[in-house]
Amino acid sequence: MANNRVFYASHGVALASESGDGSAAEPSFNAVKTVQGAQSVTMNTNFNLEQVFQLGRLELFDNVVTDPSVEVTISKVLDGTQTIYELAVGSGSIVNNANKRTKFIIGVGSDTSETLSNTSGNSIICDPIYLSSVNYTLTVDGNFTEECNFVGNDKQIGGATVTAPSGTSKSTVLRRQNLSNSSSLPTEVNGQNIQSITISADFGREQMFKLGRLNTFHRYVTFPLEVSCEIEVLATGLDTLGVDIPDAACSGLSLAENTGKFIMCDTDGVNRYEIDLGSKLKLTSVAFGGGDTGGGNATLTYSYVTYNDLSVRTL
Amino acid sequence: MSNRVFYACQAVSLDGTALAGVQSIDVNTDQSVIPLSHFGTLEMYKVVPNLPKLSITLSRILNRLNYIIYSGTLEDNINKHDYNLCLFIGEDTNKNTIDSLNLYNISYRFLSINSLNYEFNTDGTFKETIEFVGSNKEFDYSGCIPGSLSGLSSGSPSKTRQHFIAVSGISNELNIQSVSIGVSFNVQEIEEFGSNVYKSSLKRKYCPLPIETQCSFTAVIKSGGQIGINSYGMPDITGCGYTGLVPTKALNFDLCGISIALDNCMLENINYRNGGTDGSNAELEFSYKGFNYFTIRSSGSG
Repeated sequence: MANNRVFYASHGVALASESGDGSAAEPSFNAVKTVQGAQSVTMNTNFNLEQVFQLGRLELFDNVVTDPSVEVTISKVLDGTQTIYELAVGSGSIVNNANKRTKFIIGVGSDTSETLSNTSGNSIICDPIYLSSVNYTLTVDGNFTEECNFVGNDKQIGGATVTAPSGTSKSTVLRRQNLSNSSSLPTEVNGQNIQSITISADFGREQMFKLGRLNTFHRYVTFPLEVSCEIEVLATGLDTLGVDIPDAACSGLSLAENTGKFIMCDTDGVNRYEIDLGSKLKLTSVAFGGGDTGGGNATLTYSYVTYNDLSVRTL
Repeated sequence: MSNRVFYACQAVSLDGTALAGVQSIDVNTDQSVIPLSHFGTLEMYKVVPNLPKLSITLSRILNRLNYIIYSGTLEDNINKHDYNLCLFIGEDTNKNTIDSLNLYNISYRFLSINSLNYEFNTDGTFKETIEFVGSNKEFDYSGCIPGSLSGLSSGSPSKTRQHFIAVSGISNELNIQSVSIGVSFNVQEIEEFGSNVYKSSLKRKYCPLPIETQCSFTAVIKSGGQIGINSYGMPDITGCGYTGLVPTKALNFDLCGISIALDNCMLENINYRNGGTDGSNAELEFSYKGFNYFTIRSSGSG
């Protein structure tokens, strides 16, 4: 019987990471795995057109289809299972994984089944597709989440199966109590009452073309890659960062470099995730706000940046 | 009554055939003068008009239509100095120039092709730019027949990067990003006493030899091994057998129905650049120079 709608129980997404190092002309992939704990998926298909006119006629000479593109966004809760990042490109540093491609499958099953089923007749495969950005959000209210964007130029209809995700996770969904004390935090926020942590990186993914071929032959990560980290804490006073620009010659200002390694653990105390931003995080801004007559609490938001240093691992 | 002239209300025909895919046309009429002074007065003795010269630059999109302006070999074309170009200008309220009630034309006759340039890039359409030179220009010429514009097609697939098949003579491993081909004929006139400036047809024109062709292309390199393709070391110049960085070669560009061929091409320059800390990709630019060979043919399909 045909569906009347598609809702969360009747569709699912699966990813497969490239098994090689990204240098092969045609990628081969590891086993396809369903994303566990997925919360949402969006897919946009754009047909980019370039209009050409000519002297002598008002009407269009040609409407050239240039580079159709597909953009996918997947979000999931962090629950101890593999992250979208790891399913897409494998664990570890983004530099090591910069050339790896991904196979993405979205499948729709019956809207009257309790679990996802029979997607082979109603699926879309993007092979290959490229991870283009990641975002991790850890807050005191709500679940820890991950959101990843993908971009590609290939989209095939039908023929793939997405298996239903497992019914129970081996760990509970991670929330505020699951940020491990073994994390290495920047000096400015150490010991403070942290309210939220946001880590994000945009890989750019510029297309590479060549004469003689319409499709891209590669999408590269734009280096230097900026990785930003924002940490909001409850203000118990004012920020302690003074600014004193020296007058003397041959002088300057320097900011300390910080380490940023965020480890998340489950309720059994077992470490589950590690997001490592390296040891060159630098503070770029401090914002003091809130505490107004609305009765809210004042907060301090510390923004950090590092370059080319991002590693995500499921422990 | 028109308020302006834009792309839909001007059209071009060449030798009675409407040119499709034209993107722009620039016409420069130059009337240089010779000032003559003489002793005894500050006032000019005479200001003598010199020969008027026309320069017309036309750019258009390469497509698979059969009409190729420069077609054949160099020998077929270097003595052709009788191109007749008509520029029609109509009203700005019609879809097609030919639909105008008041259609004006300017004719440029006895033109010579002075230069050709072709650009192929991974973004955008393939373009041809032609420069004509001449000395004849007439308003509302009866030989410019508006009916010729009825052949202006409504459209055809424009050439883009997938229509570039290959360059024979260049390694297939290179990911070519852009190609530029140019030839300059540098048309000269043989002046003679008693010749009538207006009667351009009586003038003798020629293209000084050798005719130089230039071809350059850029390629993104994937690895250090590709630099090795082109790592031409400086030779021992005391030897008698030096033949240049590479021997002269022929370059043939296949564009799905249009072929462009150059010969006697010597690699003149290799430029390795970019790949800097701005994150750009390293690329190689190759520049070739050839002589006395430039052939364009159309198969009419592709």
